[in-house]
Amino acid sequence: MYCSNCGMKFPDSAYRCPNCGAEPANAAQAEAARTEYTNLEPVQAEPVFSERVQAERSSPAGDAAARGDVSRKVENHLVKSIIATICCCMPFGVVSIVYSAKVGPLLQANNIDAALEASKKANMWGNLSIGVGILVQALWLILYSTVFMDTIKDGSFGGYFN
Amino acid sequence: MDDSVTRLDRTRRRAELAKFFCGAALACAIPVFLRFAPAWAERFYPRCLWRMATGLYCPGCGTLRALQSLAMFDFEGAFLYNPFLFLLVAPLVFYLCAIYLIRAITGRRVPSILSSPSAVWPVAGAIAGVWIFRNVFPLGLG
Repeated sequence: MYCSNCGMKFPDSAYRCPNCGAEPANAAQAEAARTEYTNLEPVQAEPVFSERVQAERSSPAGDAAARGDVSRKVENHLVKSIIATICCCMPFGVVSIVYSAKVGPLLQANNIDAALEASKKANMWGNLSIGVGILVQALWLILYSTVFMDTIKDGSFGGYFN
Repeated sequence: MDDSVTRLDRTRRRAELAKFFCGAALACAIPVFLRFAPAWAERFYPRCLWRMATGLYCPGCGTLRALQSLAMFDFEGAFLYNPFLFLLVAPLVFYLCAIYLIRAITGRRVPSILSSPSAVWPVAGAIAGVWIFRNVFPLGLG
Protein backbone atom coordinates (compact mmCIF):
# COMPACT_ATOMS: atom_id res chain seq x y z
CA MET A 1 0.00 0.00 0.00
CA TYR A 2 1.06 3.59 -0.50
CA CYS A 3 1.07 6.28 2.12
CA SER A 4 -1.68 8.82 1.61
CA ASN A 5 0.52 11.50 3.08
CA CYS A 6 3.96 11.12 1.52
CA GLY A 7 3.34 8.46 -1.13
CA MET A 8 5.90 5.99 0.09
CA LYS A 9 5.23 2.29 -0.45
CA PHE A 10 5.06 0.21 2.71
CA PRO A 11 3.83 -3.29 3.69
CA ASP A 12 0.15 -3.86 4.29
CA SER A 13 0.76 -5.09 7.79
CA ALA A 14 2.20 -1.76 8.93
CA TYR A 15 -0.21 0.47 10.79
CA ARG A 16 1.90 3.57 10.32
CA CYS A 17 3.94 4.80 7.42
CA PRO A 18 7.59 4.05 8.21
CA ASN A 19 8.57 7.27 6.40
CA CYS A 20 6.31 9.99 7.76
CA GLY A 21 4.39 8.19 10.50
CA ALA A 22 0.96 8.90 9.02
CA GLU A 23 -1.74 6.27 9.50
CA PRO A 24 -3.08 4.61 6.34
CA ALA A 25 -6.08 6.34 4.81
CA ASN A 26 -8.10 3.14 4.86
CA ALA A 27 -9.27 3.20 8.46
CA ALA A 28 -10.41 -0.44 8.55
CA GLN A 29 -7.08 -1.64 7.28
CA ALA A 30 -5.26 0.51 9.78
CA GLU A 31 -7.40 -0.87 12.59
CA ALA A 32 -6.75 -4.46 11.47
CA ALA A 33 -3.01 -3.87 11.31
CA ARG A 34 -3.01 -2.24 14.70
CA THR A 35 -4.90 -5.03 16.42
CA GLU A 36 -2.62 -7.57 14.79
CA TYR A 37 0.35 -5.66 16.07
CA THR A 38 -0.88 -5.16 19.58
CA ASN A 39 -2.21 -8.69 19.96
CA LEU A 40 1.23 -10.17 19.42
CA GLU A 41 2.35 -12.39 22.26
CA PRO A 42 4.75 -10.45 24.40
CA VAL A 43 8.17 -11.98 23.86
CA GLN A 44 9.16 -13.84 27.00
CA ALA A 45 12.91 -13.38 27.39
CA GLU A 46 14.77 -16.44 28.57
CA PRO A 47 16.32 -15.43 31.89
CA VAL A 48 20.08 -15.28 31.56
CA PHE A 49 22.16 -17.69 33.57
CA SER A 50 23.21 -15.20 36.21
CA GLU A 51 19.57 -14.21 36.82
CA ARG A 52 18.55 -17.82 37.20
CA VAL A 53 21.37 -18.38 39.65
CA GLN A 54 20.43 -15.21 41.49
CA ALA A 55 16.81 -16.29 41.68
CA GLU A 56 17.84 -19.66 43.02
CA ARG A 57 20.08 -18.16 45.63
CA SER A 58 17.41 -15.83 46.90
CA SER A 59 14.89 -18.65 47.02
CA PRO A 60 13.88 -19.72 50.51
CA ALA A 61 15.14 -23.26 49.81
CA GLY A 62 18.04 -22.67 52.17
CA ASP A 63 21.04 -20.47 51.57
CA ALA A 64 23.64 -23.17 52.17
CA ALA A 65 22.09 -25.52 49.64
CA ALA A 66 21.76 -22.73 47.11
CA ARG A 67 25.36 -21.73 47.62
CA GLY A 68 26.48 -25.31 47.04
CA ASP A 69 24.52 -25.36 43.79
CA VAL A 70 26.02 -22.10 42.63
CA SER A 71 29.60 -23.04 43.33
CA ARG A 72 28.95 -26.25 41.47
CA LYS A 73 27.61 -24.40 38.45
CA VAL A 74 30.27 -21.74 38.16
CA GLU A 75 33.37 -23.82 37.48
CA ASN A 76 36.64 -22.43 38.79
CA HIS A 77 38.65 -24.61 36.35
CA LEU A 78 41.31 -25.17 39.00
CA VAL A 79 42.44 -28.58 37.76
CA LYS A 80 42.86 -27.28 34.24
CA SER A 81 44.83 -24.24 35.37
CA ILE A 82 47.15 -26.40 37.51
CA ILE A 83 47.85 -28.73 34.60
CA ALA A 84 48.30 -25.72 32.35
CA THR A 85 50.79 -24.15 34.76
CA ILE A 86 52.95 -27.18 35.39
CA CYS A 87 52.81 -29.11 32.12
CA CYS A 88 52.33 -26.43 29.52
CA CYS A 89 52.96 -22.74 29.29
CA MET A 90 53.59 -21.43 32.80
CA PRO A 91 52.90 -17.67 32.38
CA PHE A 92 49.46 -18.26 30.88
CA GLY A 93 48.79 -20.97 33.44
CA VAL A 94 49.45 -18.55 36.29
CA VAL A 95 46.98 -16.07 34.77
CA SER A 96 44.48 -18.92 34.68
CA ILE A 97 45.07 -19.73 38.37
CA VAL A 98 44.61 -16.07 39.31
CA TYR A 99 41.24 -15.91 37.53
CA SER A 100 40.35 -19.26 39.04
CA ALA A 101 41.03 -17.81 42.47
CA LYS A 102 38.73 -14.88 41.78
CA VAL A 103 35.69 -17.06 41.08
CA GLY A 104 35.09 -18.18 44.66
CA PRO A 105 35.21 -14.79 46.42
CA LEU A 106 33.05 -13.24 43.68
CA LEU A 107 30.46 -15.96 44.22
CA GLN A 108 30.53 -15.35 47.94
CA ALA A 109 30.05 -11.64 47.30
CA ASN A 110 27.00 -12.64 45.24
CA ASN A 111 28.55 -11.09 42.14
CA ILE A 112 27.49 -13.86 39.79
CA ASP A 113 28.20 -12.04 36.54
CA ALA A 114 31.76 -11.22 37.50
CA ALA A 115 32.25 -14.78 38.76
CA LEU A 116 31.07 -16.16 35.41
CA GLU A 117 33.42 -13.79 33.64
CA ALA A 118 36.36 -14.87 35.81
CA SER A 119 35.46 -18.52 35.25
CA LYS A 120 35.39 -17.97 31.50
CA LYS A 121 38.76 -16.24 31.60
CA ALA A 122 40.31 -18.99 33.76
CA ASN A 123 39.10 -21.51 31.20
CA MET A 124 40.33 -19.42 28.28
CA TRP A 125 43.83 -18.88 29.66
CA GLY A 126 44.07 -22.52 30.66
CA ASN A 127 43.13 -23.61 27.15
CA LEU A 128 45.57 -21.12 25.67
CA SER A 129 48.37 -22.41 27.86
CA ILE A 130 47.62 -26.03 27.02
CA GLY A 131 47.43 -25.15 23.32
CA VAL A 132 50.80 -23.38 23.40
CA GLY A 133 52.31 -26.31 25.32
CA ILE A 134 51.07 -28.90 22.83
CA LEU A 135 52.22 -26.75 19.91
CA VAL A 136 55.74 -26.35 21.30
CA GLN A 137 56.05 -30.06 22.11
CA ALA A 138 54.87 -30.96 18.62
CA LEU A 139 57.37 -28.54 17.08
CA TRP A 140 60.09 -30.01 19.25
CA LEU A 141 59.21 -33.51 18.15
CA ILE A 142 59.22 -32.53 14.48
CA LEU A 143 62.35 -30.41 14.56
CA TYR A 144 64.63 -32.26 16.95
CA SER A 145 63.57 -35.83 16.77
CA THR A 146 63.77 -38.38 14.02
CA VAL A 147 60.68 -40.24 15.21
CA PHE A 148 58.68 -39.60 12.10
CA MET A 149 61.52 -40.08 9.65
CA ASP A 150 62.52 -43.46 11.08
CA THR A 151 58.96 -44.66 11.16
CA ILE A 152 58.36 -43.62 7.58
CA LYS A 153 61.64 -45.14 6.33
CA ASP A 154 61.34 -48.74 7.44
CA GLY A 155 57.86 -48.90 8.96
CA SER A 156 59.21 -50.73 12.02
CA PHE A 157 59.36 -47.81 14.41
CA GLY A 158 63.07 -47.60 13.68
CA GLY A 159 63.71 -50.98 15.28
CA TYR A 160 63.08 -49.50 18.70
CA PHE A 161 60.89 -52.34 19.89
CA ASN A 162 63.19 -54.84 21.53
CA MET B 1 17.84 -27.15 42.13
CA ASP B 2 15.64 -29.56 40.23
CA ASP B 3 17.34 -32.93 40.33
CA SER B 4 16.14 -33.94 36.87
CA VAL B 5 18.18 -31.11 35.37
CA THR B 6 21.49 -31.87 37.03
CA ARG B 7 21.20 -35.65 36.84
CA LEU B 8 22.69 -37.41 33.84
CA ASP B 9 20.43 -39.65 31.81
CA ARG B 10 21.31 -43.24 30.95
CA THR B 11 23.06 -42.56 27.64
CA ARG B 12 25.13 -39.73 29.11
CA ARG B 13 26.10 -41.97 32.03
CA ARG B 14 27.29 -44.69 29.65
CA ALA B 15 29.20 -42.15 27.56
CA GLU B 16 30.90 -40.79 30.69
CA LEU B 17 31.82 -44.31 31.78
CA ALA B 18 33.21 -45.10 28.32
CA LYS B 19 35.21 -41.88 28.38
CA PHE B 20 36.65 -42.79 31.77
CA PHE B 21 37.80 -46.22 30.67
CA CYS B 22 39.29 -44.89 27.42
CA GLY B 23 41.24 -42.32 29.41
CA ALA B 24 42.36 -44.92 31.94
CA ALA B 25 43.49 -47.28 29.14
CA LEU B 26 45.52 -44.47 27.54
CA ALA B 27 47.09 -43.58 30.88
CA CYS B 28 47.96 -47.23 31.53
CA ALA B 29 49.57 -47.50 28.09
CA ILE B 30 52.29 -45.05 29.17
CA PRO B 31 54.00 -47.29 31.76
CA VAL B 32 53.61 -50.28 29.43
CA PHE B 33 55.50 -48.42 26.69
CA LEU B 34 58.07 -47.20 29.20
CA ARG B 35 58.72 -50.78 30.31
CA PHE B 36 58.69 -52.68 27.04
CA ALA B 37 59.91 -50.10 24.54
CA PRO B 38 61.91 -47.62 26.60
CA ALA B 39 64.24 -46.56 23.80
CA TRP B 40 61.32 -45.94 21.50
CA ALA B 41 59.29 -44.13 24.12
CA GLU B 42 62.28 -41.95 24.94
CA ARG B 43 62.05 -40.25 21.58
CA PHE B 44 58.59 -38.93 22.42
CA TYR B 45 59.62 -37.49 25.77
CA PRO B 46 58.17 -34.03 26.16
CA ARG B 47 60.61 -31.29 27.06
CA CYS B 48 59.96 -29.03 30.03
CA LEU B 49 59.48 -25.51 28.71
CA TRP B 50 60.26 -24.00 32.10
CA ARG B 51 63.56 -25.90 32.31
CA MET B 52 64.45 -24.97 28.74
CA ALA B 53 63.77 -21.33 29.47
CA THR B 54 65.26 -20.94 32.95
CA GLY B 55 67.35 -24.02 33.70
CA LEU B 56 65.35 -24.55 36.91
CA TYR B 57 63.15 -27.50 37.83
CA CYS B 58 59.37 -27.22 37.69
CA PRO B 59 56.94 -29.15 39.92
CA GLY B 60 56.37 -31.62 37.10
CA CYS B 61 60.03 -32.34 36.35
CA GLY B 62 60.96 -35.99 36.81
CA THR B 63 57.40 -37.26 36.47
CA LEU B 64 58.15 -39.32 33.40
CA ARG B 65 61.37 -40.70 34.89
CA ALA B 66 59.43 -41.53 38.05
CA LEU B 67 56.84 -43.39 35.99
CA GLN B 68 59.60 -45.21 34.13
CA SER B 69 61.24 -46.24 37.40
CA LEU B 70 57.85 -47.37 38.61
CA ALA B 71 57.38 -49.44 35.47
CA MET B 72 60.74 -51.05 36.20
CA PHE B 73 59.63 -51.66 39.83
CA ASP B 74 62.31 -49.33 41.18
CA PHE B 75 60.14 -47.72 43.82
CA GLU B 76 62.83 -45.81 45.67
CA GLY B 77 64.14 -44.25 42.46
CA ALA B 78 60.61 -43.37 41.42
CA PHE B 79 59.95 -41.61 44.71
CA LEU B 80 63.18 -39.62 44.54
CA TYR B 81 62.54 -38.43 40.98
CA ASN B 82 59.30 -36.74 41.96
CA PRO B 83 58.13 -37.29 45.56
CA PHE B 84 55.19 -34.91 45.10
CA LEU B 85 53.79 -37.12 42.39
CA PHE B 86 53.19 -39.76 45.06
CA LEU B 87 52.50 -37.53 48.05
CA LEU B 88 50.18 -34.95 46.47
CA VAL B 89 49.24 -35.72 42.89
CA ALA B 90 48.43 -39.43 43.12
CA PRO B 91 45.89 -39.07 45.98
CA LEU B 92 44.29 -36.16 44.14
CA VAL B 93 44.09 -38.14 40.90
CA PHE B 94 42.46 -41.06 42.70
CA TYR B 95 40.04 -38.67 44.36
CA LEU B 96 39.08 -37.04 41.05
CA CYS B 97 38.72 -40.46 39.40
CA ALA B 98 36.41 -41.56 42.23
CA ILE B 99 34.28 -38.45 41.81
CA TYR B 100 34.10 -38.93 38.06
CA LEU B 101 33.15 -42.58 38.46
CA ILE B 102 30.44 -41.80 41.01
CA ARG B 103 28.99 -39.26 38.59
CA ALA B 104 29.23 -41.69 35.68
CA ILE B 105 27.51 -44.48 37.62
CA THR B 106 24.85 -42.69 39.64
CA GLY B 107 24.46 -39.67 37.34
CA ARG B 108 24.56 -37.33 40.34
CA ARG B 109 27.20 -34.71 40.62
CA VAL B 110 29.53 -34.89 43.59
CA PRO B 111 31.05 -31.50 44.35
CA SER B 112 34.82 -31.73 44.26
CA ILE B 113 36.88 -30.13 47.04
CA LEU B 114 38.88 -28.48 44.25
CA SER B 115 35.85 -26.56 43.00
CA SER B 116 35.17 -25.04 46.40
CA PRO B 117 36.07 -21.35 46.60
CA SER B 118 38.56 -21.83 49.42
CA ALA B 119 40.60 -24.47 47.57
CA VAL B 120 42.46 -22.25 45.13
CA TRP B 121 44.95 -20.44 47.35
CA PRO B 122 46.09 -23.50 49.33
CA VAL B 123 46.63 -25.34 46.03
CA ALA B 124 48.48 -22.40 44.47
CA GLY B 125 50.57 -22.14 47.64
CA ALA B 126 51.39 -25.83 47.52
CA ILE B 127 52.51 -25.52 43.91
CA ALA B 128 54.72 -22.54 44.74
CA GLY B 129 56.16 -24.39 47.75
CA VAL B 130 56.92 -27.48 45.69
CA TRP B 131 58.48 -25.27 43.01
CA ILE B 132 60.93 -23.79 45.51
CA PHE B 133 61.59 -27.06 47.33
CA ARG B 134 62.57 -28.86 44.12
CA ASN B 135 65.23 -26.34 43.25
CA VAL B 136 66.66 -26.31 46.77
CA PHE B 137 66.55 -30.11 47.17
CA PRO B 138 66.55 -31.72 43.72
CA LEU B 139 66.83 -35.25 45.26
CA GLY B 140 66.83 -37.74 42.38
CA LEU B 141 66.96 -35.03 39.75
CA GLY B 142 70.31 -33.58 40.74
